[in-house]
Amino acid sequence: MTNHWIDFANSDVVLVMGSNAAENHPISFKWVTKAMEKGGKLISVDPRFTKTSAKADIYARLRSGTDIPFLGGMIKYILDNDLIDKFYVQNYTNASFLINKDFKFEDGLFSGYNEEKRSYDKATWAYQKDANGVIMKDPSMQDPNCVYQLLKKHYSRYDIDKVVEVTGTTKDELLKVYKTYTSTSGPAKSGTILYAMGWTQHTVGTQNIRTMSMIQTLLGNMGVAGGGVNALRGESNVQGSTDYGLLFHILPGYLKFPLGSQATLADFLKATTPTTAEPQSLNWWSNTPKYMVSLLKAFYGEAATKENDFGYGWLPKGDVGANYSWLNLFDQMSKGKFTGFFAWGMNPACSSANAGKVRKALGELDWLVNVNLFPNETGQFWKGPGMDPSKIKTAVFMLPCAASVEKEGSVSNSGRWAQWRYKAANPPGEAMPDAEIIEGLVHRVKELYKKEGGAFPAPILSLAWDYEENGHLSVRKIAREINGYYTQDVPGADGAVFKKGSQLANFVGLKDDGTTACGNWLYSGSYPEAGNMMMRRDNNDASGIGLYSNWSWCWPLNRRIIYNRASVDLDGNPRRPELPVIKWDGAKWVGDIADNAAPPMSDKEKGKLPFIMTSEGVAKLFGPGLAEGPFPEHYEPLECPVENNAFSSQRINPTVKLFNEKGEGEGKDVYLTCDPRYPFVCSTYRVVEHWQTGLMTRWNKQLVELAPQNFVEMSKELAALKGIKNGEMVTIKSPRGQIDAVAMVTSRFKPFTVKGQTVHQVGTTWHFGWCAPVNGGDTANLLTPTVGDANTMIPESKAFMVNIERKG
Amino acid sequence: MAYAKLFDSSKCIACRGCQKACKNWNQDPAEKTTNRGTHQNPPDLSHQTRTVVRFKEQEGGDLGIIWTFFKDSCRHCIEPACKMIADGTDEQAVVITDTGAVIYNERTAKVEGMNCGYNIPKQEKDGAPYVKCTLCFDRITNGLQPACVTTCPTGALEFGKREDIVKLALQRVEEAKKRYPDAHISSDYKEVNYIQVFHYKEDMFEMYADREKQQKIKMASRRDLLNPKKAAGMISKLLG
Ligand code: SF4
Ligand code: SF4
Ligand code: SF4
Repeated sequence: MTNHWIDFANSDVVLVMGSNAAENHPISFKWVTKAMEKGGKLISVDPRFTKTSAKADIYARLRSGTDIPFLGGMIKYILDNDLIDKFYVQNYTNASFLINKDFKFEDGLFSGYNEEKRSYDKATWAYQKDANGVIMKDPSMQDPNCVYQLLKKHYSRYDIDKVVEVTGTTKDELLKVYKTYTSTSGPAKSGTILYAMGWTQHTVGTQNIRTMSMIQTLLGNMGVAGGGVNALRGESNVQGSTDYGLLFHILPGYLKFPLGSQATLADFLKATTPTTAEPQSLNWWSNTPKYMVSLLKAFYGEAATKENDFGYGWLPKGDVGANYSWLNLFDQMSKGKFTGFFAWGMNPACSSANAGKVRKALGELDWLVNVNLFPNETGQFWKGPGMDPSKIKTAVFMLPCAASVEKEGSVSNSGRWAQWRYKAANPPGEAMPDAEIIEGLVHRVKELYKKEGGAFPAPILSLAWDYEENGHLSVRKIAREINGYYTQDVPGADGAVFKKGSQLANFVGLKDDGTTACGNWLYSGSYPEAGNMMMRRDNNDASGIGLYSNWSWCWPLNRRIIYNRASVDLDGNPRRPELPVIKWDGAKWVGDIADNAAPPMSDKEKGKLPFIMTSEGVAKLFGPGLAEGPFPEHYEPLECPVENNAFSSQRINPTVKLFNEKGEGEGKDVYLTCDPRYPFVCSTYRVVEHWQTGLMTRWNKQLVELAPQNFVEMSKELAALKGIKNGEMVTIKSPRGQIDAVAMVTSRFKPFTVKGQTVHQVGTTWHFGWCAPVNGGDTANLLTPTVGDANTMIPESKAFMVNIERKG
Repeated sequence: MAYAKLFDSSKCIACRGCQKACKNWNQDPAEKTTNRGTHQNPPDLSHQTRTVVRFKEQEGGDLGIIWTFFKDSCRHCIEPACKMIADGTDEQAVVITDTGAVIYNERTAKVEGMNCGYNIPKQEKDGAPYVKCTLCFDRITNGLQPACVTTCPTGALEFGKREDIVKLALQRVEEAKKRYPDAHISSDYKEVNYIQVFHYKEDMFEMYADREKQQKIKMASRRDLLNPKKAAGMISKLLG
């Protein structure tokens, strides 16, 4: 989130789209309710009328997978009616920037497409620059090659009738949403977006979010109280795990993952440190060398020296063009490319898209280590439905681990707050905290390398691993390393000395010469000399806008609303004085921690632009970073109920990776569109009573009492068509598998009219699995396809095709 | 001190945290349930389920659908019909406390013809004690809020001094009216300590509160008190 949970209360319009916040994030409704008490409006956009819709002022239904037409139509509405926040768009976005004259968009494709590789050469997706490398601009925004004009041209195609035709939303509903949401344009009001997996789990997931980010930028809603783009994360600490580099393509603190082509540290830094010639751009990532070298110092300690590139050579490197995401890993596993696998706090046999493929893939392993609280479908895959244990070679080890309340540590919530939690009880039996399991592994692996050597022992033997305190692994010691410390005495201002081993105040002190070590620059400042800031529990709010700056600690630098310099005018005065986030008092910024300490923009020499994480310093309406193109464009889901994309002749995302292609593994993955055997759109989702694959909830009898069995929600019309009665057992089939579920016939689903045709949509949950409870049913992921977003590889679990029949 | 609890349907998101918290606090075992084509579960109150969130789905309204939720549990009546009946058997079986909570104990097992217009008292089988919401008597007399209220994320449940809760309820009606013109307070609010605000005209109050029955029981019980046979029984018990 750019903002934070409490900040929802500051919104004038709350749009919940791609999320059912009332169901899956009930606590968000504490703050949404407060916004509504103050007169704020709630809009719910969802294929199904949900608990969120039940509380909304406006509800609009859309066919799953058509968010970009819905939002693209809103962009057109904003531009046609001149509803942009002009000051904001002119000063804080790239609307006036000129784009390469060869940049083109034709029939669903941007310039530079390579059909064979299913990817783009992005050379033309670039700015025009002058001799000094400064981007050329047209402040009047009239040049046909400026971003504003290109944007206008692109979205002129998203006229309301076409949007209605594709989304299945009524014109009346659409206009109500557009009118209400765009009322937040300008400084006087703010609108916020709450989204979750309803946006990410599509082949165009990242572009769904980008479309909304563009709307927020056009309306001046970024960086302000009650605004921002807010991802409601699906797990309590998933924000933390991405911050710490859990994903395959990043290191801690969102530093890039090194590639084989970057042989030396200098190569890596050259490739990953952006430069800029924009006079007022801070270009925060220019600090990359300091963060990277300090990270290497944390990894390898004394062994990391200037002479050996601080151990950069020991880091694993990715192959250029390879993708190590979940779907690819299991695809490779299914082809016998792995010997061993740690399933750590995960249950891929239920959580993974195309779970049937995953269950089979696990049988290709020699060994599987399953670290979890409870036995699950992954650890017991060999005795699951359709398996013959006598034919499975995989050796399975179960390591029981401690639950979150049985250990100490920090949890980072969606609002980026790192909150320290204390241990409440000892773990039962032999269960251990994950960190202690890892520590045991590290020591044993190191021992083995010491004794037996190996192909490449240096990375293991050089790994600094010194987290013991009083004879035990100390997570506080790990937290101190994450914050960062001086590796030798370093002179400070006025003759002061930062002593070797003392804590850094924050990342501003990080160096690229090896004198500082830091496990994650983003969290630098969380544990300075003064102590563990994540433990703070002061519930006084001096800000008056709900920042609660002394409660826990939030990255970066305890900044509660990021890009907050976009909330002020060029002189540093809040554009909305009633809800001030920061203010320049003539010498310094007061309020929230400002995005940077430089004076306001009107100081042409020292003033800095607000969007410090982009090299341009401004928000990008034209964003060349993503795989599909600089402007979001509608493509149908991989499996969809229509033969043609109404917007172009590209039916699906042209850059998406397909797993059914000729060659190895052909036939393992099946996708079917407009196949009469699978006529209905299906979405998967969650209920409040269960959590993810249900591992922490399916064993809790009181929760099972509330939600005992998987169900499938469908419209009365579809039930009538298929002769299905409410409460009876039905079978849902996709090209990949089938599950049984209880039919829940409801008016909350309604058939859509799409291009004059009736399209039915159903929905079911992925909480259940064959282990427990008895008769609970199995996961909906037996139905979902192996296909992911072209940027993140998040699977498309929100739109695929199924059939449904009475069980019998 | 007389307390009261408020349920405001306009703010309820059916998270059922209250239902779960109630079970936790009272250590009531889970029931074996199945999905019957509705999210509501268990189907009704029971000796193991002191509160249940009821779901109701109708077509109509501004959004095309009206999906409402109601947390059903004992109303803690100021003149409880259940007590009037119980008194016929044992005046100690149902106790009205000065907190406003109406409390059952083991002696309710012997009560004959237990009944209530809200269909609240439940027993496991004939001869077993009756069970219902205690208004978390053990918590509210120790400075805590009822477990369900503490858990509620949205302010749909509130607890406090009766006069403050009545005031709040009336204020909530006015607030809710801005969005929902039919918002109203439960018609029995002057007679109970569990007060409700409903935001739709056709609410679930009518479905789950039979006020006529409640009045009839009360009238009958009052008459019964004058019934010499029952009175004699009671006197002999008191003396015994
Ligand atoms: S609601 Fe029923 S059980 Fe509760 S106090 Fe009133 S009469 Fe008794
Ligand atoms: S007041 Fe206590 S007993 Fe009554 S419903 Fe709430 S939690 Fe249950
Ligand atoms: S806890 Fe509150 S919001 Fe949740 S179901 Fe109960 S009353 Fe409704």
